[in-house]
Amino acid sequence: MKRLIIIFVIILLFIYVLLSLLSFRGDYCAQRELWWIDRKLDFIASHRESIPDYIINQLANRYRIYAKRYNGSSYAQSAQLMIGNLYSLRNELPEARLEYQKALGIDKELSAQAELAIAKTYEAEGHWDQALVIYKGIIQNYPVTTSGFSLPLYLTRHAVAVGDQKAYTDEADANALLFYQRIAVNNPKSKLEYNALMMLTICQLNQKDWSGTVKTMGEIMLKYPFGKSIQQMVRAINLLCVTKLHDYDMGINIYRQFIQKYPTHLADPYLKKMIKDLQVLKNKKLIIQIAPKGNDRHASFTK
Amino acid sequence: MSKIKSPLIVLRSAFNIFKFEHQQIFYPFIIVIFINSLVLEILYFSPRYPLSIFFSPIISRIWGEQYLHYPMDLMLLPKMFYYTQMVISLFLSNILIVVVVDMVAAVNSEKKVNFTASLKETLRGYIYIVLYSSLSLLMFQIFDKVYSRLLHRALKIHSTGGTYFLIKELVSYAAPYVQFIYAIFVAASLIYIPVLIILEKKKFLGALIGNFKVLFGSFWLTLSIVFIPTLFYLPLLLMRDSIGSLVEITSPEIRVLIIALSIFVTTGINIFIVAAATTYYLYKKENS
Repeated sequence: MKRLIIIFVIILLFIYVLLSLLSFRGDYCAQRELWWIDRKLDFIASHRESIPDYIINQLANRYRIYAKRYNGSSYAQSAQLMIGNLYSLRNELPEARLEYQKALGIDKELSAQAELAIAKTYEAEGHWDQALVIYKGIIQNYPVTTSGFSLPLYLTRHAVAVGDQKAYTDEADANALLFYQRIAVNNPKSKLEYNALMMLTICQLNQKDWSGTVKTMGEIMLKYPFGKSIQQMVRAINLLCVTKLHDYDMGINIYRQFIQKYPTHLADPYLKKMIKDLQVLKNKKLIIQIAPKGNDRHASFTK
Repeated sequence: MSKIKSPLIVLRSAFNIFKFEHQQIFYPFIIVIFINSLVLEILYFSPRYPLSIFFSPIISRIWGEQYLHYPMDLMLLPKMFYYTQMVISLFLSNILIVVVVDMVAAVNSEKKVNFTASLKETLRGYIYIVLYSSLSLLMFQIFDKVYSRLLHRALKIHSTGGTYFLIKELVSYAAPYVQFIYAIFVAASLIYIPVLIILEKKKFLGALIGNFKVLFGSFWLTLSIVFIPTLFYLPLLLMRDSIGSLVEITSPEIRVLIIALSIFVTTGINIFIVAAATTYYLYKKENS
């Protein structure tokens, strides 16, 4: 029995050592090493006030050693980005920018993140113009990265400290609309199109373009007939048609088109009921308006 | 003729069989642990080169690309191991565990315990044992499905107080323990099937009918025989239940350690239960 146990243990150990050696310094090892350093960074970030500076320096050194070891890889880029974050954490923004610059590399997603971080440091220092140039560069160069994709909408919400706020917002709104429309057109039948259309609805809502919002939502419903998205769209379409547009036919037409396109869809009975309800409201010529916040009644009915 | 009233007597007798003088009775335990550990080792290394060449397309297709990276791969590991172990148990581990039946019978008749001879004897009823394993699995899955439905229904309760809320809380928090209880119930209901296949050379259907005959009048004792050793699994169940906080304070690799520990514990429990059921069956047969 002892011999059997020893043989089995040796086999298991041999396989373990062999597989460990074969995967040594591979992608997986790099991920694991980086995860452990990131875990320390998470801890530091959540206990910033009580962590002495030398611990942050130690961590920055660990990142540097890691970046050197996996030089040229996206993991090294990621580590470099973290070094920048460490400086940002200490509010040493010029130094952070230098580190972020080093994080620009092969991975577009990480490069976009690095540029975004640089722009944020400028923004934090109050240099909006410099930040804006970089933001526009990210939108231009990395439009389909997470950072680049969300930036046009971010810019619409930015308050300009000097100059004409309305002119700036109008331009940012128009740019965002164009950007998301272009992404949707260039990437048909993809997650990107879906996300772009969703962002488009947010831009249209911000601009109070109710009719445009309903049309885009209808487009999303017809192109992406998934449960959760349908539920969201129907709620929003009903609300806008009834309280803002007072145009019940718009919603009814969208639901009819949907039922026609997907005659066996699970949402069909629900949509049929919606059509019926909207028709009742239409026949009664009811106009429902949402009362401003603070009023006791949130909706008022007029005939 | 005396009738056994306490399950502890049966368990003590079964415990006495596992002595160093019958070394070969430990072979199934060692082999099953080795096979499962080997599988765990392979699955642990599956997202890394060179095993990733084979496993990466499968993992990313079934569960998603994110599970190929650290530490997400370790979150998937228990699930992957569970499915693989299910197949291995069905066709291999359960056969090895059932070998214990013949070995216990040999100890009981004061013959020499021989693993190879017992394995040969067990392999004759291979198909029936696979059928027995499949039936156990099927019954377990049925209970699981029923409980999932119940859980699903309970989670729909919106009450934040009162009886319905209590039911909801009870059903959702008790989930792992209910699973533990019906696993014991399934095991106890079918425990004599392999014993009858090996010792009485019965076919599957005959063994199934015989199983219920043996169970008749001794169900609670059999249930206790299964229940008491299975209690050793409870600490592991508690650990699995609080895996999130364990990972938080230690490392994501703790999941591997818990699986490794569960291999030892479940194999030990399964073998001991089979030995105890065989002991009880032989006793009942001698005294009837």
